[in-house]
Amino acid sequence: MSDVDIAFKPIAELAAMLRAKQISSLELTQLYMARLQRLGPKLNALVTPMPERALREAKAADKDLSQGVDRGPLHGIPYGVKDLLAAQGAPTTWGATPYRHQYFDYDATAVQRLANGGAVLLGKLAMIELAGGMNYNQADASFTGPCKTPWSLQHWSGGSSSGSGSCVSAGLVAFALGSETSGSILNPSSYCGVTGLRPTYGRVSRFGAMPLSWTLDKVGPICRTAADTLTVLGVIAGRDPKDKTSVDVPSARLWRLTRTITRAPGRASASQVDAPRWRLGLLKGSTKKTQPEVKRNLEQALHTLGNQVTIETVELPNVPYDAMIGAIIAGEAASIFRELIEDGRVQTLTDPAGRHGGYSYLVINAVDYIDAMRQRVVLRQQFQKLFQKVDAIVAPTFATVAYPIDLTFDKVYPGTAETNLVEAGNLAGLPAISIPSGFGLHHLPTAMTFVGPPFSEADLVELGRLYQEQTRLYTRRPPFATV
Amino acid sequence: MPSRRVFLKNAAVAAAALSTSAIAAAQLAQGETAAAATSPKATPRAVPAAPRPSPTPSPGPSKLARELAGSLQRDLPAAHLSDSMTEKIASDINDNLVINKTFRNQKNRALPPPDFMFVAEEGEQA
Repeated sequence: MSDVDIAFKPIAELAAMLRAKQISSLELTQLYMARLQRLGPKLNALVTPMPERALREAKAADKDLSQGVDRGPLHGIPYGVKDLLAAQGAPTTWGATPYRHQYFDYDATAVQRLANGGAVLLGKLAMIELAGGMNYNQADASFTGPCKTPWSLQHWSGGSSSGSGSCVSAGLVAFALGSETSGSILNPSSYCGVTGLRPTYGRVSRFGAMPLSWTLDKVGPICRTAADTLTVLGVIAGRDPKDKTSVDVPSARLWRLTRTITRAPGRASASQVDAPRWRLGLLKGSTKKTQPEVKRNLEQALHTLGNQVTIETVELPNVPYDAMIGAIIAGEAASIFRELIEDGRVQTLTDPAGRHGGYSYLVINAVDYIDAMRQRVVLRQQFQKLFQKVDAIVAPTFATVAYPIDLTFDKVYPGTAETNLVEAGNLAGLPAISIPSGFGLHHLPTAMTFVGPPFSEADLVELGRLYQEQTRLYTRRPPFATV
Repeated sequence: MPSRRVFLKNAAVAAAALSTSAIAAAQLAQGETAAAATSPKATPRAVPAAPRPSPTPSPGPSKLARELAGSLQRDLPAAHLSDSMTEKIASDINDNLVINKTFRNQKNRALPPPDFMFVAEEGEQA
């Protein structure tokens, strides 16, 4: 088996190899670290490799396994984190020049839980500066340069969890952590052709993560398969006294699925799976202004799911999404980064739009912020009604394939437009999963998303798994990454 | 991670600024591959963390936006805001004024209270 074959294996298969002693964690770590350091810089996806910590954790994982200590499904598995999460042993730059030399002497809770689970941290991965919180209008919005999708080095990886999407797609890590305030896990997952899970607000502790919006921020996994995302979520989820918004939601179904899907994917065809009949709500108008291939691939995906789903058309609740998300992010981000804005350091950001965007936040109206928060309560109530009719909403994750890196966002793919599903799901704190649906313009990946009620991650993953077991799209490899 | 009490306090500080109003219109140009139509959509500049095409530049900042940007230039000496930077800030403010206009024009004012609240003691929230 070649190194490339190993690098693109789902977590469950790597875990099986480790336990069968076909490979050690140290060998796996060295394999991934070599790929990460060789290919990561070509993608502008790597901020800081962490070879010392990785080798230490890998050796400890091997020692534990040899002594019969098994820390779970991620034991010995190498991964990377968005450079928004604190990790001992490397700077935590938030992708932004003013924080290039920022160090924390502790791990973010999600990183700590992965360490406790025996996972091996390879390094810190690229991100849009300050997670895009000061505004951005181009791919080159990080001091590490424009991060690229491995499917085309002329196209952007998406953001703001740019390196997480890119590195998983290129087989440089087995999985990665990203974060989402409004779209930052789903976007790079879509553009890089990988699977991203945005957890329910509160499902995963944000302690040690750069805050951008206290009421919107979530931490979640980006992986090769839907099953992998649930495996990672099972390790990082749960109440953390250091993040008072975090919750423990008992979910027997989640943990049962976590156990059952840690077997290698693809062993059972969808028809063999005792699948429920899902009621999907296709978002009305969601393919009206997409690229044609995005629409075609969604239709084919729904056809593939066939009699396992019923489909009816649904509409999003009628609330002012753009104003709500604008007021909330501006108000909270301005408070969080007030000093950076007021003392002028924000003007050292890479993207020209980010150098002045934050100043306008300082004059956002308090009444508008409160009204936006009141509208969120209405939104949540309306989603509760909607989810009595359907189990999940389905739509294209984004309307287009990845943007060219040499065009500003206001000039890309004219005539296309996004729905408000990303904003709606984030404002309501709902979980979502982005699943690759095929390929479109320039043979770049397209994706669909399932959005469900709070704490329905296991259901969304199962939907994604049903589709992926039939199409096995996740086995496709970007040519760039197979050398 | 701050408690909800601290959060509310911070949010109030952030928002204890000036009241604003005006509009930005996002005009989507006719596409080469997609179905055609140009569909204006109001989009504030205060964008989320994933990208969205920016609105078409408006004709120019309003007088109010320029005054607000000017006040920032005067009140934030450490930021050393140049005249050209202040003009860009005025343009951003102008685009964000759609937020205020949107909420002012909401017909339903019988909204429930926000789901965060001040508590008088430190500790666990329900």
